[in-house]
Amino acid sequence: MIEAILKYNFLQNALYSALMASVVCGIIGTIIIEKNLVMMSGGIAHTSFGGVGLGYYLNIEPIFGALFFALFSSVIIVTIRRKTEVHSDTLIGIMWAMGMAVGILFISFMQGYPPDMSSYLFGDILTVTNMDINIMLILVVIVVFAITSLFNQWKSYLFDEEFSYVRGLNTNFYEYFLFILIALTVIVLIRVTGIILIIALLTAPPAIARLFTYDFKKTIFLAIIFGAFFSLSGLWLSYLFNIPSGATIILLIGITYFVLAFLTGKLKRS
Amino acid sequence: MEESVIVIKNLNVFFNEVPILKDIELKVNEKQFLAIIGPNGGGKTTLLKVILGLIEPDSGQVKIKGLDIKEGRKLIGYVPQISDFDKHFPINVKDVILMGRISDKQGFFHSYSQKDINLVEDIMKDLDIFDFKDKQIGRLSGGQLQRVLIGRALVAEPEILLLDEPTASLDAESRSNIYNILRDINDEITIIVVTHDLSAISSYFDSVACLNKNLHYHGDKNISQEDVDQVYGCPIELIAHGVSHRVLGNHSGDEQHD
Repeated sequence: MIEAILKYNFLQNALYSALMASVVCGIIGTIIIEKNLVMMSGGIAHTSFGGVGLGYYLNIEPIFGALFFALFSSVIIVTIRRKTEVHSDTLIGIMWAMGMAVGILFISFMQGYPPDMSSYLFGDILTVTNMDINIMLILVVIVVFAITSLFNQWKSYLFDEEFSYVRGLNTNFYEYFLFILIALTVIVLIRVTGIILIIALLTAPPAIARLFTYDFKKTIFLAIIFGAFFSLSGLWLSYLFNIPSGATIILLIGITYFVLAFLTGKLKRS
Repeated sequence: MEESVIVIKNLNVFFNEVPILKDIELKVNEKQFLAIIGPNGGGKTTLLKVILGLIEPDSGQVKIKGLDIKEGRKLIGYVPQISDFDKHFPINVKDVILMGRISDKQGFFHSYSQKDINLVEDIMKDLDIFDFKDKQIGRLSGGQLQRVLIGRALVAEPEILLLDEPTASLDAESRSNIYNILRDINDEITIIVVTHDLSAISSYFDSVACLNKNLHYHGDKNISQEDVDQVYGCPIELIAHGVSHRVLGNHSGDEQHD
């Protein structure tokens, strides 16, 4: 496979995108499982499908449409969450389905044969283009810089929002910023695992990491390592057997999580 | 003449048009050790949150050392209820306490200074929690966790300490341990404790206010049976001094008991 990677641009792109996905998954995934924002992130991901549809309809790059929808929906969700007493669960459920519906409508408006949406829904890491790589790189740099440059503040905000607010931290800003970062992460992941499978890639690596450490920073680093290991192995398996990459990666990482959780749980009890 | 550190005038808070706090008037003097007692749902936590700027009052005025809440709350160390936050968060004791040094002043790529770290270590030693500085917070007992939160509030070097139910769900020994700590701290800092733990009132606090929508407060720790009846809505025996609680001396190794 190494030879093939050196030879084929599409394999190099697949490799880069898997690695970049692991980095943002490790960081943002750790945050969303600690903050119980997993479903929220799933909602943002699915809403972005509306943007993919819009992109196809307007004949612009679907990923830009998705980016726009993801950002828009994340800001809307935070705003509604803050201003009303609507339960976030309800809100996410509605946005989730509405985003998908918008996407389906836009696709149906298109003349002629509808485009194949499956690479956006289920991901196809082997078709990642140079342009996708560039977009992903920019988003990854933004996410990494945003978290590392304000790491202590983030940690305080994530651990105890109320206390941080009383200490003078602008928690409003951090909440909006966090949701924007989740939206950016979703976009990085769309091409790798697809909208439907994103949640697993976001949650499983940090969940595995949490089996081994009680430290926030270590959780992030371990999650990145696990994410990279599993997405590369998944990529290799999918290339080898010619099976869908997104699904392979997710199953690999999901099964590993359950096996390890079972084993460590067992070890702890004995 | 003692100086008032917190002055609350004519404070009203409604929630969906239901009054939670009504016409609250309160003056807290420097170095006072005030207990605000009252039944659950009586507005105790709401009052604390108003003082901290977490809840916007519908009317009335709160001044902290003559400052508005936004500025004044920087002088306050806040100790939330231990049941309020996520004990599974991957963070250890030392890192939690360091967070007390966070403020609005830090910029990008902030790291804690040696001064911060020394202060944190001193306070951990004072509170007898230095030994488990590397423990994940979910692995602490209730009393230990409470001391961690007090430590986090103290490293901000506050002039006023606000505590929300610091002894809820603690056993009797940890309770008196916490109150002994607070009494020591009180030598330098004004302390306000919100609690429904009536047992500690007479021996530790120097003043008591009763809150159930309305605040009954006479500036000392004499609360009449009438006040208590009114606040709790049903007759409750006033706890006589030194009867219903045991004051324990210094007991190191407290934490091994649970």
